[in-house]
Amino acid sequence: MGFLLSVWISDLQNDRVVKMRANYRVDSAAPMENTPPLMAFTTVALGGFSSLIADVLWLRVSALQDEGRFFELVQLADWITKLEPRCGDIWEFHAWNMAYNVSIMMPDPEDRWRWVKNGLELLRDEGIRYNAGDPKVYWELGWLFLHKIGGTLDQAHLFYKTKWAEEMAGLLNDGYPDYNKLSTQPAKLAKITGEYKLNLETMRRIDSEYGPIDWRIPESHALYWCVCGKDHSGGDRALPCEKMILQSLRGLFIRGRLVIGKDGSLIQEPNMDLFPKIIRAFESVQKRYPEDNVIKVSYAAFLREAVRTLYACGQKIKAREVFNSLAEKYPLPETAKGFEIFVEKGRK
Amino acid sequence: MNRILAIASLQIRAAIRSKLFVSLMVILVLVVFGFPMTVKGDGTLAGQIKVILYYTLGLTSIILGITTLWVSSGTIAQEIESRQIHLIAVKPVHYFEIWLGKWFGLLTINAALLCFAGLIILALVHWNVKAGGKNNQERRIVKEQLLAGRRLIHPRDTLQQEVFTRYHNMLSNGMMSPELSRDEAFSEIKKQLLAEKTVIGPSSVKKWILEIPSFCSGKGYEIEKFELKVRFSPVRKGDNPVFGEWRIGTERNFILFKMTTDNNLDGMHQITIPLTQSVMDTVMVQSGEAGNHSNRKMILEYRNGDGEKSRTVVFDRERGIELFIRESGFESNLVRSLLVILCRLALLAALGLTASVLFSFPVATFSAFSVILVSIVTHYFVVMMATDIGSCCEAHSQKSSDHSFWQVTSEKTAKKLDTIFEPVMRLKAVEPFSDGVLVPWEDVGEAVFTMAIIYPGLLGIGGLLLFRRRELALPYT
Repeated sequence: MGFLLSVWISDLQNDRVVKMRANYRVDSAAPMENTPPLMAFTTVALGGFSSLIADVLWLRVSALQDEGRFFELVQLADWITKLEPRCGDIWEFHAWNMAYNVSIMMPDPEDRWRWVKNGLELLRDEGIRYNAGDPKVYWELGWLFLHKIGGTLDQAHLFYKTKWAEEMAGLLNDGYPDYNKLSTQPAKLAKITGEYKLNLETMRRIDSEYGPIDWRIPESHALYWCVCGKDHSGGDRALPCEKMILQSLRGLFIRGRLVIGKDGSLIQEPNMDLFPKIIRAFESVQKRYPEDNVIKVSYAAFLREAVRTLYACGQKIKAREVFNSLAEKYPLPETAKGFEIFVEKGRK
Repeated sequence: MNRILAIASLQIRAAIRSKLFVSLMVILVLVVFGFPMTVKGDGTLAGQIKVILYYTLGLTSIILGITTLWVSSGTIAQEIESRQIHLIAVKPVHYFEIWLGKWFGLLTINAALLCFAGLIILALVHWNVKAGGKNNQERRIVKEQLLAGRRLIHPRDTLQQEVFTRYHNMLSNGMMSPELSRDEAFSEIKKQLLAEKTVIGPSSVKKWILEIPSFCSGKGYEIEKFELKVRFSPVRKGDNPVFGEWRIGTERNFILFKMTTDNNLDGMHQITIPLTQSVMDTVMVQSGEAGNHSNRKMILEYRNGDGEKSRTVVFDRERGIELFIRESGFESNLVRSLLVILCRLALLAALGLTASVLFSFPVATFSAFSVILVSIVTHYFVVMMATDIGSCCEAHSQKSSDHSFWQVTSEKTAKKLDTIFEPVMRLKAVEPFSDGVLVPWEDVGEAVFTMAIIYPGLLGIGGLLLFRRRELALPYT
């Protein structure tokens, strides 16, 4: 009787607890409704065994990877993540593994790009679907754009940038979408929202808050996914996404204007129009997290870069203004020697 | 013989009557057709086809394996419990004939189901190749590399032998440090030799000898059936490209062909070295002079560029150099793979039947599954022990003092047990088949001999002895 009573009371409380968890954003996502049968089977019917199966599959992933047999990894990653769909770390690991570890094993840039995309797609198409409230998953997706495609560590990074720019150029009016026109083009809209999982409203908001930005550039997408991550989480959980937003904006300032050379090569130039909005973004985040040292350091680094970039682009008066602001906010030995020495040192 | 066939037909009729046969057909259709609809390859047609082949044939093998073990464990045990066995036992039929008849029955059911699954796989793969693929190039790769039976030839592995030779040379020349134990010395020498064989620094040269079987190199061989692949990667990141020269030759003529490698990307480099008709003609003639029946030797050489131009590269020890010779079509390779799987099912049926003679249905099932589990786990551990760097010479070394009694005993027991399981575990059908690698008739013959004759024969004799001693008329409630 006591047992039945406890079950009944728990059932009565369940709705309230679920709502509270959603309000306080302690779930990685809202409870799944209309769950696909496979997912329901793996999460409910297999119970604790799902972890054991995931472990066995994971061992197989490691063994295959050691042997250089990569063709099966996408399927295995799909199964492992489906066995533990609410564990964001697993999605992140497998996406990162494909985009970084496997891609680097390919000597052909085309093959590398395929694996980077496999990693992106795992997070973007499914990881976020099952972990919509987990900002870490958005952060990881943003990192793939910012570091793997946008960075220069991979020898094939130019190939990735070109491919991504080609995909986006056709879809988003050479990187600067006309949102009103796009909403009247159902085929394009379906591809943007269906395949690339981009929400036009969020893009429009990003453009008005930080831009207009060039959507052919990977940093723009890092920015997009971190804004989504921030929107889906609150308080300190949003901090990593906030930081990556600033990091993406720094990237967009330094190389946010894309020029296609006559030979088809990509040239990325500074986008100085973004400067006031980036400053506003830094100050707003700093106000919200006054104790965070990383943001302070990052702001100082941005100002340093800005002075030198503005100076190099001929905007000497603006560069001096920013330098004065830098020297006032972050007095450093390198600013104490004066503007001319500071920019000269940067040029060296 | 008629009596055996009569019991086999009874077994088949019982399987059909109990809907087992139909149920398995439905399950196989669902698995083989349903799986490719959900499968995700690596984004290429070849990757997609590999995954389909591996999982459809693998799942077919697992489903039929589990069902065979389950059904065979219950066959005789349930007939004894339900006293149906009395109807046969009182007739002039030998116990041996009952066991064999039931085994044949199960084998026939499995053969029919495997044929059915094979036909579905065949249709499915051809449909996928036709429907999938962005271009003809992708389809051509699939047809040439996957939908074929290619004999795989690796350079001769003499590591073990070289470890011993070097050890004895060092010992006789007094170059061995007295502080090193025999095990440690073997381990160090093996590490050194492995590095010498796989790591090639700037300005270094490495040779591999590939032996082409005489039956592949006779008159009228087709050059397009040969494919030489190499796989290596730069040791660490650097500004230099991977720059070097590949040479193909024979013992008499070292340079029949030259090709330069110059690639700046990191990662695994996979190169197909083109083999021309004139090069192969010379290899076949010059290296075959010892006699028509001797293997032809092709010498492959890599000369790494100097430190100014190139970087140190490392070759995969197992898959670094691979010579493929297309020997058969996809269909015949599938048939051979199915035959190996059928032999494995025959062994499982024999194991289940013998357990079923000795125990009741649940206990027989549990025992048979336990034997399979023990064999898999034991083999896994023995393989793991063998891959350990120092273990190649363990058989020749004295008992190591830092191993506990329990560890030494369990390792020895596992190795002894694995000598029984190894001949069965060694033969693979699904993996080579899905990689487009030939499942040779020699393997099929070995599978028939070990898994369909010797092991089932031994199990059958054991089953017969137990069956004769089994009291069939016990009062079951």
